[in-house]
Amino acid sequence: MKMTSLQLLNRFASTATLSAMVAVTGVSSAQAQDDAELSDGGEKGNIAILVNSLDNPYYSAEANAAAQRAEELGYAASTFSHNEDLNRQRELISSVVGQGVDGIILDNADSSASVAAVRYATERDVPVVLINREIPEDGIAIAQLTHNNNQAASQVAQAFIEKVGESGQYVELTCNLADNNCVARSNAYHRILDQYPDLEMVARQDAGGDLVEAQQSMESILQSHPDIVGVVAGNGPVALGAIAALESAGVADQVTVVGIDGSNDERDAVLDGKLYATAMLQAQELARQGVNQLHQYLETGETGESERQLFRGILITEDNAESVNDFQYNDN
Amino acid sequence: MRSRLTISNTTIIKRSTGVVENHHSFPFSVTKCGAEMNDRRHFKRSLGMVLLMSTVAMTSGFKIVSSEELAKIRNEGSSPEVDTSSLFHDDITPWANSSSREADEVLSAIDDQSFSEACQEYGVQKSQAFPCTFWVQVAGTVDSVDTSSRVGKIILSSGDKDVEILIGPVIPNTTLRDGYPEVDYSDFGNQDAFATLSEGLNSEVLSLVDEVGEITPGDRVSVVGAFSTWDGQEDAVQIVPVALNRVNAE
Repeated sequence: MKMTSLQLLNRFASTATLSAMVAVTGVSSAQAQDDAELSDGGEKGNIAILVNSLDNPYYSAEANAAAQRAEELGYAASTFSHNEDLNRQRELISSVVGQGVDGIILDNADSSASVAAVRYATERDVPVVLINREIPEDGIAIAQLTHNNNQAASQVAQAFIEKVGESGQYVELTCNLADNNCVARSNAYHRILDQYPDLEMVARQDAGGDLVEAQQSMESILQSHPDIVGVVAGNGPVALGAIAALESAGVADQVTVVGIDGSNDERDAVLDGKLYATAMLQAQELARQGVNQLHQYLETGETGESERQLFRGILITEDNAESVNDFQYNDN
Repeated sequence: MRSRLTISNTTIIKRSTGVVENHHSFPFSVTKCGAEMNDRRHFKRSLGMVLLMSTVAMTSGFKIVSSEELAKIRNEGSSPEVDTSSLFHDDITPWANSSSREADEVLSAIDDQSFSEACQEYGVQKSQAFPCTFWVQVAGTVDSVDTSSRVGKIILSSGDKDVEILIGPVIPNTTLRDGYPEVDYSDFGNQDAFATLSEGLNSEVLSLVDEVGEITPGDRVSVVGAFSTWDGQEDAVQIVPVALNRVNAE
């Protein structure tokens, strides 16, 4: 389970390269259904599951969990990837709606710009459950399930302070400030950290949620700020990128790194003592609950729940990292 | 969503469709026409323009509303404005005073029952996204006051578990917001607004602590407040106070 930072980097660089290729070509392994053809055979009908890149472990975990749950409930599940491309998302939704899909589980491409796409489906009597990312309007999607980013980031920030103390210089590498979830995490970090006047943020950079970009940013920042005590990262790949840079510079043991996501690679980094803490987002549970509520709506006309629902992020340290597997927490 | 046209401080709302349309501002208001325009022809032309637009508006399903109504409409679907001081003093504190249980009773229940049973009987948990919050009252002698961290604490002499009262200046959790049943995330629509509410409530706690003044070891205090926990396994409970009194102050 242990691996060096170079191995970690190589693994993520490969993923990043593949993701980039996917983004350019618009074709991924999960897009064998590139023409958005719905699967047949669901006793209760068809559900389409639309997420970002399926090469990303988070999106893969939520898509697989959603599909599995849909099939358990008697639906044929079809999974598609929009690769965070709004046009692609619009085409996919238009296509599956045209084919008579019964409901859509959507991790949308962009919180604000996706309102129209969700409305397109719901105006044609196709209910949409949003997972992971909310939209800024109520009453269009039948449910919006997202992670409690504030709670997750607050707990990580508190763990960070417990480790580094209440003074020193630190760096923030954000995940992607065009993403509302990343903004919420950054704000939550600062709600805690900014209450400590002797804890000084000396650099802040948006690493776009990407490991390689985070590593390059961290390398650059270290040139100007070699005496930092910590790095707070907006997501897992960014935290791992920072670790790679710190290891290259030979200062990893002097700098505390924390992140949010809870991938298996972060889990391993925590167990290796390289990542001090992270918050595991319950991607699988959130996706399953999304399907449950879509099913409930299709059966009864209502979900029985509030439209906006939060899911807890679970603080992960070396004490409980073994319980993490594919964004699922097993504490038995 | 309704679309609207604006004529100075009045607004026309289109009631028929859900389509957002352009927001037009006219160069003068109806009330200004007679008072400020000496040029009679200009006045007639302007008045004619207003009448024309009003006619168009009236015949196309638009309605004139006041600025106040517009503000209300604009706020529809957005986060509510919350007076955190009023919420703290007029709602949460009275509710806590009437709902809290003796800390010993609650802590015993957590130890003796399953955590979920104890939470169900004594606590508030709005969903699995939030820890269980227990509203408690406790009185005791101050064992120590720990201000070595910005998360300052009054530590009470007690039994098995340490009972700590958070006094700031940093209150790192969202216990009061999450433990008050009438506050729901669905009413806010975004996590930042929801977090801001918690910050406001925690600020009220700091004001409360300031009003009490310095507390030193040996003082007797009584507290009503809340602590939150995911599993009840912590060695100490950290109570966020909504009422804090020095019992021997008189």
